[in-house]
Amino acid sequence: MVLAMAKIRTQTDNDDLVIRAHTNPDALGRLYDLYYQRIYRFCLCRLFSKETAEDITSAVFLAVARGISTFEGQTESDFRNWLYRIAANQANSYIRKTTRRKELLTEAARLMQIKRATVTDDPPELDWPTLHTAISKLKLKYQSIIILRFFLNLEFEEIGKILKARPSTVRVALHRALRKLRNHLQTVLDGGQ
Amino acid sequence: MFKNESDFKKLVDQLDIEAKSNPAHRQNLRRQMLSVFNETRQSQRLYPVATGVRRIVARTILHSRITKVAAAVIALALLVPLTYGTAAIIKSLVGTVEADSFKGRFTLDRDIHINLQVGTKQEHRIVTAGDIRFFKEGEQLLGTLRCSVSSWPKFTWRTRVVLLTVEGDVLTSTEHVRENGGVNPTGHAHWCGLSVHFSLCSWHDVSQAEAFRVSFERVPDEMETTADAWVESTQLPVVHGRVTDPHGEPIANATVQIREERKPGQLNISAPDVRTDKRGYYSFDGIEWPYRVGVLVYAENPSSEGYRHQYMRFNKVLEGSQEVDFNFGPFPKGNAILSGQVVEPNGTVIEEFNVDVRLNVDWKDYSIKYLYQFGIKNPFVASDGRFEIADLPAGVYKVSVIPTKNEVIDLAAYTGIRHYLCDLVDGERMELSEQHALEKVWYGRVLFDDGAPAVLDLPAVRAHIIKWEEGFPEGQTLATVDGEGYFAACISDEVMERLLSGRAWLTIAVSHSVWRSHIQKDKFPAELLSLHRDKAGAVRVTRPHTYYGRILYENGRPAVPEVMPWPGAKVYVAIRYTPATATDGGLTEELGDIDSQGYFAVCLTDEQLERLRSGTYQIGVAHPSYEDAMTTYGMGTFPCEILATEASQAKGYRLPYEKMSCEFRNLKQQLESADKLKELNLALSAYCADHADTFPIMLEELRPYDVNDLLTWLKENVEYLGAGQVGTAQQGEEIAVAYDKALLDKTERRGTNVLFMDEHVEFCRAKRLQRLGIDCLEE
Repeated sequence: MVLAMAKIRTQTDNDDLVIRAHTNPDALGRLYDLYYQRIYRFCLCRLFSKETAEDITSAVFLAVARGISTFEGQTESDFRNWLYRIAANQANSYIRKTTRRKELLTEAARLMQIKRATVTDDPPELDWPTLHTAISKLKLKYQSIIILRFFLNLEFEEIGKILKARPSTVRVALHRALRKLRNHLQTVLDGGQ
Repeated sequence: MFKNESDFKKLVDQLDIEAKSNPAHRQNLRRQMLSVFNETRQSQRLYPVATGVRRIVARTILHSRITKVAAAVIALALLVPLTYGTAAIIKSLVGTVEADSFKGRFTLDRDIHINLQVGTKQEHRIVTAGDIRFFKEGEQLLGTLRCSVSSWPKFTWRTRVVLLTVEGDVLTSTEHVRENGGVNPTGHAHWCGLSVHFSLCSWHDVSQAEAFRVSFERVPDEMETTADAWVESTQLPVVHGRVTDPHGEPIANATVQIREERKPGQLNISAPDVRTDKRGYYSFDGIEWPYRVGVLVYAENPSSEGYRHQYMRFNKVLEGSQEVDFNFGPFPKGNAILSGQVVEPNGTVIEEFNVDVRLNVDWKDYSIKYLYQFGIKNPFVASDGRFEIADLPAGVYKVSVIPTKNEVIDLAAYTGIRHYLCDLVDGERMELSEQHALEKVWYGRVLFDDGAPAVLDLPAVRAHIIKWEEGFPEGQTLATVDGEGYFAACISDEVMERLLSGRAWLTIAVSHSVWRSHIQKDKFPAELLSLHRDKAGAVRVTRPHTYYGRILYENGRPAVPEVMPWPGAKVYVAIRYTPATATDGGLTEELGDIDSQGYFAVCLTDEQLERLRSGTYQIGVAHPSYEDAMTTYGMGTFPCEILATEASQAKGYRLPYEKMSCEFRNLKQQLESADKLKELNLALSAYCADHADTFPIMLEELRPYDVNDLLTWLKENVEYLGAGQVGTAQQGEEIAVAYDKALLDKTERRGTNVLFMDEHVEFCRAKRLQRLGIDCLEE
């Protein structure tokens, strides 16, 4: 009972933090501390490179700083969804705008080759560069869904709110994304890269 | 490999993803974010209205989909009239093609400005109308529509003038079909004036007229043309008349030249040329000064290649409204023959040339009523350079020999136009020779500073003599130096006098092409020129040095395409003059192609090399494109630091791989893949024929169709999409049956070969692939 009360109490505190963050830099700073690591992880999973992930994380929080005063959400969950939406959009826009995608793929492929070179006769195993290479070949929307679902452990409802889609749509999209990913992975593991 | 979501989740959990953040970045970003937050807050305090508006927009319009859609609809509703307005402006700027109309308020006895134009897709404005005037003549309503008409290309159009009542009903209308003649004797179209004089209706109907509409519409060229109505009118245009042939028949489309004479003997081309109509009539009423009238008639299919012409000038200065008729006699014919051989001063035979023969007339002779001239221009192609023009009447002729190859960058064939004057006697043949020439051949010599003739090992690099005239920024290449350093230039006495007096001068340019007339280099003094080759004076110029370079593909092999995209495709190098140093905003001089091993040679003076080093010149490299013969890819700048003085020491410059089109990079693979897909198509066609137009579920099923070798390749390279589909070639032009996935990967998912159900194979780019449902790089 005490634990349950404590949980409710914490949640209320964070909601209050979101409301105060509209005007108060300290409250915004505390929200930053809470979410920095999650957003960085999301960006890293999407973009593979640490430097790029840091750049995009910066862009996300600077956008938050500029837009928080007009942000209408009242709860922490609203804030979290908003934050991930910005992060997803920033990552997509980065990939679209730059030719970095190719470089990321090349970098991932290079790492993969280095790794493979050390293990000669064994069947190829799934590692992070290989998986990222395969994910990068998916549509941007599919990439976001896979990262949010499996790397950040979000529920379909939350992903739906972030991507402005119905949970059932997210579920179908995820199914399709996994099917495509399986094909891509097979190609990559077969040496198709 | 994972089977479902939970499998995949387990896989992800096992991965070693190092997501530890950088504490320094974290701290810096926190500081930066809070600073941005404070700045934003401050600006919101300073500009509360803008912030408020933004907030209101966010909370109202952007709040829900419905409000967004409503706002978009309102914006569109506002955009429609705006777009119409913009379209009207654009239309008035670029004009319409083939049809146009104008509506205005009907007014009598006043020039009403109208804006009408029609043309072809290439030439938008072949006919443009300036103004229209309505007037009463007896009991008739007449009108005149003034147009400007391009002489080329051939274009026939119908003009319709309609009078409208207050209710917008048609009161009366008239139609006129005209043509511009499609005459292009000089190789360039020129503009003529044209007035359409029309009769609309009887006078008593006019009281109901409120508005008028004029429209132009292109009609087939064979449509019968309409003559003007003004000949029945007493309100005549200022200059008018009729042009007829020896039988009194009208000559249509004759060019009537009206020239204002503002001072005695000084003609101004202020009035445009006009053309005769179908009945041979011409008219023009926009003239203010005393004027002269002349008519030019081209006989038999005039073109830029060759024609016969007759010209007649009414030899009296006219003023006010005048009627001047012209009656041309038959084209003069005689028994004199003009023949000759066209050779350069150094004896080289010229094989392709035009000969223009005109009766020599004194244009200042005003003693006769009509001044008359005729002429013939004939093209010749002869390996021995010989020509012959027969049936000429006796007389003095001015003959121009115009080598036609001088329009092509071909150093060996380059020469100027020669002019001759010869007196032909009836029944005799005259051989054109140097004694008839109006220009003399002057010789000179150019040497390098070491005394050797100004000739380099590189055959593409030659020394050229360029003539400059006072007041003209562009020079004219007169001659090219031969193997012994001599050149022969054709110069008339008049030009020679200007050269000696300093009003004109000659310069020497050692360069890769004759087109470097924008560069002034060492002068060649006219005093050193001689009529005898062995007495020619010499000028010494700095010897340029030869430098070598090599161009390679990224993989290190010579940049010679494996598969030629078009005949003669080559990687070439060129010097680019940057705008800062070029007189006309930047020019490119082609230095030549690379050889089969990727080597090239350029010839540069120390000054040019210095400019290359400082960046005012650049050596650009261009690669042929697979798309068409006209397109090349600029592949960057060859670094001048690696130019070598010996070919064996030339260092290679590797072309940046990214700049090549994905097609070209994979051209060989693409062509092979297309062949294989065509083989697959044959096997599939046979299979479908045996299985009621049903495609196989798997390509393995094609084994009985003798495709064992192909199957191995298909398995490795092709994604088959037609499994179980039913269809025929007729219905499947946009249905993909298979595509080359290996090629798709090779082109970085930007394009690949696709076999369609209608049995054609095509290289499709990403956009098309997306439409076909093939996963590729999003564009």
